[in-house]
Amino acid sequence: MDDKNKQYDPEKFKQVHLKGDDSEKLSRPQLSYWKDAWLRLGKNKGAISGLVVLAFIILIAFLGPLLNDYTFDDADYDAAYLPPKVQGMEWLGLDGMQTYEVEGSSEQDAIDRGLEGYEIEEQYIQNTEVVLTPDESENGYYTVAMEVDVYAAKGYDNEHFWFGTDSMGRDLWTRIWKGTQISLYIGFLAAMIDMVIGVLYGGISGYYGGRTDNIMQRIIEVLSGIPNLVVVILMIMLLNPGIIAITIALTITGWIGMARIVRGQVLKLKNQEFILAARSLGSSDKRILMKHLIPNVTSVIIINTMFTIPSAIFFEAFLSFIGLGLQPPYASLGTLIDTAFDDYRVYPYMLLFPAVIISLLMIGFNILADGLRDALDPKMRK
Amino acid sequence: MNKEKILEVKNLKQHFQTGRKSVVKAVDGISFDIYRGETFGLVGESGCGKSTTGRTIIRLYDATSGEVTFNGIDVHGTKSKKDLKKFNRQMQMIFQDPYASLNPRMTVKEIILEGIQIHGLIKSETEKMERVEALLETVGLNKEHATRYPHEFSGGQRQRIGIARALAVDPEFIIADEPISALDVSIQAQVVNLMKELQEEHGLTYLFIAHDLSMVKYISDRIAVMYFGKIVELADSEELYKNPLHPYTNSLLSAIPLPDPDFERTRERTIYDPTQHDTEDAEFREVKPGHWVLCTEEEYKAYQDK
Repeated sequence: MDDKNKQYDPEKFKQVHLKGDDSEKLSRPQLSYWKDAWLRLGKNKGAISGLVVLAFIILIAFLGPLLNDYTFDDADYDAAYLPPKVQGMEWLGLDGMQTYEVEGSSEQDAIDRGLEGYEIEEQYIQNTEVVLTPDESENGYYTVAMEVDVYAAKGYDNEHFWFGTDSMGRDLWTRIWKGTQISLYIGFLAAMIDMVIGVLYGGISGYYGGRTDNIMQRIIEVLSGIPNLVVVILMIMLLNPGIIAITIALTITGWIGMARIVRGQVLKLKNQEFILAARSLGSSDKRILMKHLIPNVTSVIIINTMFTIPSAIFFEAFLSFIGLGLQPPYASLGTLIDTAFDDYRVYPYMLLFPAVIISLLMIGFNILADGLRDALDPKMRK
Repeated sequence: MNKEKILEVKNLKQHFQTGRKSVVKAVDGISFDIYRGETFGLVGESGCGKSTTGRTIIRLYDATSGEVTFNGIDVHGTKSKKDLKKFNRQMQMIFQDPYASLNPRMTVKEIILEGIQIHGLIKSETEKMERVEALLETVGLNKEHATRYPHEFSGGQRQRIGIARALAVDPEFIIADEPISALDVSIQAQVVNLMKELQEEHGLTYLFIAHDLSMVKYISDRIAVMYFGKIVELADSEELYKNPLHPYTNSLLSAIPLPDPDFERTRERTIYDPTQHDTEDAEFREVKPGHWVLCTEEEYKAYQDK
C-alpha cells in the first residue's frame, strides 16, 4: 500500500469531545439477561433446529390422535398387521402394500404357500419377484417376494391407517402419538421432580456447609452406591407398573446429579463478595438463597434439566423394552418398540416410526440443551 | 478533632481451623480505636489479616475471642434481631473486587435498593426510584443506569455502584476493604476522591484497608500497620511516614516507588527480617502520644530516644 499518496483531509474528520457526563454513557442497547440469552440461542442453528423438531413432535403428539377416528385401544383382529397407508402419499411407499417373503420348491409353490399361510386370495397379489433361486440359497428353495394389497385382501379398502396397525389391529398412528405423550409426560415429570428435590437438597447442603453438608453428602453417596436398576426394578415391583411407579422409580435416585451440581455452584458462589455484601446488609438466609444464590444457578439448573428430560425418556423406554414398563393397553414409545421388535423383519414399519420419534426426541433435546448451555453462559458474551 | 470513639477493638482474635490440628491465626489479638469522622488506614502485606479484621468487625465472621464495641454496644455480644438490624444499617462495607461484589442477575436498581428493602426503609415505588436516582447521582453515575446489569459497567463504575449500595442505608461507619486495589490506576483517584467527598458530606467514618501505602497516606488520618495477624505500629499518618519506628514499617515505606528516576536509581529496599529482634515478648506500647509500636522493653527505650 502506498500510504504517502493518501492525503489527510480535515473535512472528513470531526473532533469529538468527551464531556463529563458522556464518559459515563453506555452505548450498548439495554437487554435483560433472558432476552440476551434468547438472542444468542437464536444464532445457534443447531439449537433452533432442535427446538423446531421438538416443538413439531410435541405439537403432533397432542394433535395427532385427534386427526383420525381411531382410538389407541380399539382392537380389531381382522385389521391386524395392516401396513401404513396415507392418502396422496402412495409414491412414498405409504400405499398399504405389504411385501411377504415366502419360500417354496418352485416359484408357484412359494406363492401358493404364502397365500395359504397369510390367508390371502390370489387376486390381491400385485407383484412377485424371485429374490433367491435354489442355486443361491442355502436350503435349496426358491425365495419369492410377494407384494400384496393387504387392505383390499382384508376388506379395508376405504380405511387409511397412516402408520399401519399392530398385531391386534389397533391404529399405530394414534398409539404412537399417545405413547409419545406418555413418554414426554414421564420425561418432564421426572425432570421436574429431580429439579425440585435436587435444587433444594444441593442448595441447603452447599449453603449451610460443615456438618450438615457432610451428613447430606454421605446420604447421597450411599444412595448412588446402590445400582440404579436394582432400585428401579424393586420400586416397580412394589408399586405395580404404571406411569406414577415409573416416575417415582426414575426420580428416586435421579435427583442426585442435580443436587451435586447445585451444591458445587452454591459452594462456589456463597463466598463471593456480593453474598457477603448481602449479609452485611442484614439479609436473611432465605433471602440470600432465593434472591442471590438460586438466580445465579438458574442457568445451570435449566441446562441440567434439559439433559435430564431425554435421559428420563430414554430410561423409561429402556425399562419398557426389558418388560418393566407400562402395561397394555397403555403404550409409551418404549413399549411400542418392544412389541414391534418381535416381528420387525416382516413388519418393519411397526418399529420404524416409534424408533424415529424417540431418536428425534433424544437428539432434539440434547442439541437444544447444548445450545442453551452456550446461550446462558454469560462468559460467552462477545 | 472530635475525639469521640465510634469503634473500639480489644484484643480481637480470629483463628480458622484448617485441619484437625492446624489453626491459622489470621488475626491474633489486635486492639485499636477509631474516632468518629476519621479515616483509619490499615495496611500490610497480602495475607496478613487485614480483610479478616474488617470482616470480623462487621460480623461476617464470628470472632474467636476479643471485643468489638461499636457506638458503645458490644457487636459480637448482641443477639437480638432488632439490634443486629440496627447494626447492619450503621456499619457498611465496600468490597475489594468490583466484579464479584455485585450480583450479576440483579439490576443496579435492585442492588442499590437491597438494603432499603431488607430494612423496609422506603415503601412507595416512586420514592424508591427517587432514592436510587439520588444515590446514583451522588456517586457520579447517570440515573439511566438504574435498569442496567452490572456486567455492562467498567470496574470503576461498578465500584461506585457498590459505594451507592453501602450508602443506601445511611451508615455512620464504612469498612472499605481494599476498594481500589482491583481498579485501574487512573480510576483509583476517582474512587478515593469520591470517598473523601462523601465523608465530608455525610460525616462518615472509614476503616480503609489497603496495601498501597501512598494511597493510604493520602486518605487516612491514622494508620495501623499489620504484620502476620498483629498490629506492629499505629500512628498519625504524618508521624508514621516521617518517623517510622518498627522495622517492618521501615521496610514497607522503603518499597514505595516515586516517579523520579534519580531517586529510584539510588533507592535501597530495606528487607524486614522478623528474627532480627525479639517478637515473643513484644507488647503494644505507646512510645509517643498517639504513636504505638509492638516492641520489647529494650526496644521501647531505644525508640523513645529516637
